[in-house]
Amino acid sequence: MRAHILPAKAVCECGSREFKPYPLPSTGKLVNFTVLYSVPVEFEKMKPLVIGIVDLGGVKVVGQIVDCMD
Amino acid sequence: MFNTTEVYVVAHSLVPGGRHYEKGGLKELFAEAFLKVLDQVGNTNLGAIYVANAFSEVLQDQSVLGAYLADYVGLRRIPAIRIESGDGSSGIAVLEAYNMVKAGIYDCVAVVGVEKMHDVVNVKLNKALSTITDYEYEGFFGVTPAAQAAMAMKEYMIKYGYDYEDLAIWPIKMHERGSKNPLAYMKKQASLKDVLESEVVADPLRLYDVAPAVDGSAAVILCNKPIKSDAVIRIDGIGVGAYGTYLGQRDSLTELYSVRDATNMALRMAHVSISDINLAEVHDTYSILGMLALESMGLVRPGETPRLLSTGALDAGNKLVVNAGGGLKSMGFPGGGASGMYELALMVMELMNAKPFESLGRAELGIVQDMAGFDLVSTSIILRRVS
Repeated sequence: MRAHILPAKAVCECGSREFKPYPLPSTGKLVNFTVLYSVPVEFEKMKPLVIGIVDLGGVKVVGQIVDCMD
Repeated sequence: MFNTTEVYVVAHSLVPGGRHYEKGGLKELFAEAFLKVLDQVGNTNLGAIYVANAFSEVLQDQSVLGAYLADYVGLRRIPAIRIESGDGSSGIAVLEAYNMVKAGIYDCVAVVGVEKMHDVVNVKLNKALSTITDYEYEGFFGVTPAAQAAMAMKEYMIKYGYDYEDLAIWPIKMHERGSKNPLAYMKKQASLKDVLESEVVADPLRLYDVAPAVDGSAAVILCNKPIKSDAVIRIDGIGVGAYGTYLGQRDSLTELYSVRDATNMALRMAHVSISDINLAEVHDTYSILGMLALESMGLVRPGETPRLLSTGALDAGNKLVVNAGGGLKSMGFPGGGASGMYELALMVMELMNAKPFESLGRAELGIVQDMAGFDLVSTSIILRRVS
């Protein structure tokens, strides 16, 4: 069985402990996002932050969306 | 051997939310809630104290919290065990205390939830809250629980075809309840206009969707025997569920699997079905999480909460009453430590028809739901009024 997993784990939910690094595609689909105005202290000077979920071909990444035109 | 020990809530207390600079620090806030329950039970021997607190390392620079708190109330030889499970610490602390009494290890145990949120400024508090997320993969990049709730709210609105105005019913209803509750932090009503004009915290989530951070504490004492014969409250079921995962690994942001599992476990233990429940206290740190909890518990059909709330079907006087005291939205959010204990103390008062719930009507079964983070670890506690 093969699955792509993020974040990294020691054991997959399927029971396997064998993993190989896998290059994710550099483009994906934005499936959800929010514009966050109330931010943690390190981000005070960067607010607002755009936080989104991007689907990179089966693996979804949660993070900041940056360098995008509004 | 069949264990027939029952566990009763024999005392409760609640220190209302506020910016309690005048009260002193975390120890004073703890002592106020704890001494109130201690005085209700007289010279009962407490075996242990369970302290629910999520952020004392970050907000007060204090670890091994239990030991210092017990010493402060003259009980340094009583083990005071601190439980940290983010904003769901209370439920886990109650579960551990319940287990000790149920197992016959102690006759009586105290559970105290305490959190002092206003010892730091807002951005530092946001940092503390962001440690509830997977910090390496989420919090580090600026993701906070509010951002997670906002995306869940967006998914809910799209899935069930609601506008933001439809979901504003949660804060409106909670403020309405809070306006009649002298224990509430937010004692004023809110109009649709108030909600719509409040600032955006994380689009579409607005300030009125967020339970306001407060300093607060609440406590109960659990014993294997009731100490009086009237309005006796017993824990009939207690369940815990987990779905700990990174948000990106989820298929759905509109179902809380840990809440569902915790509730089913509690229902099985109590030998009741969800339709038997009369009163519910849900963990509405964000309005969307209150709605998702109700639906994941099976109290409300998926997607129906805003409609039911707006018809008044979940108000006092109905078969099911939700957050009779105004929820965390109006009580305030005393961090991880005390939020679930606020709900539990309120539920005890509701079942006892104690002030300010005299007119709520006699109800037999109540459920209290607590959750850490976004569906990480949840607890459900079923309480029954037995006399």
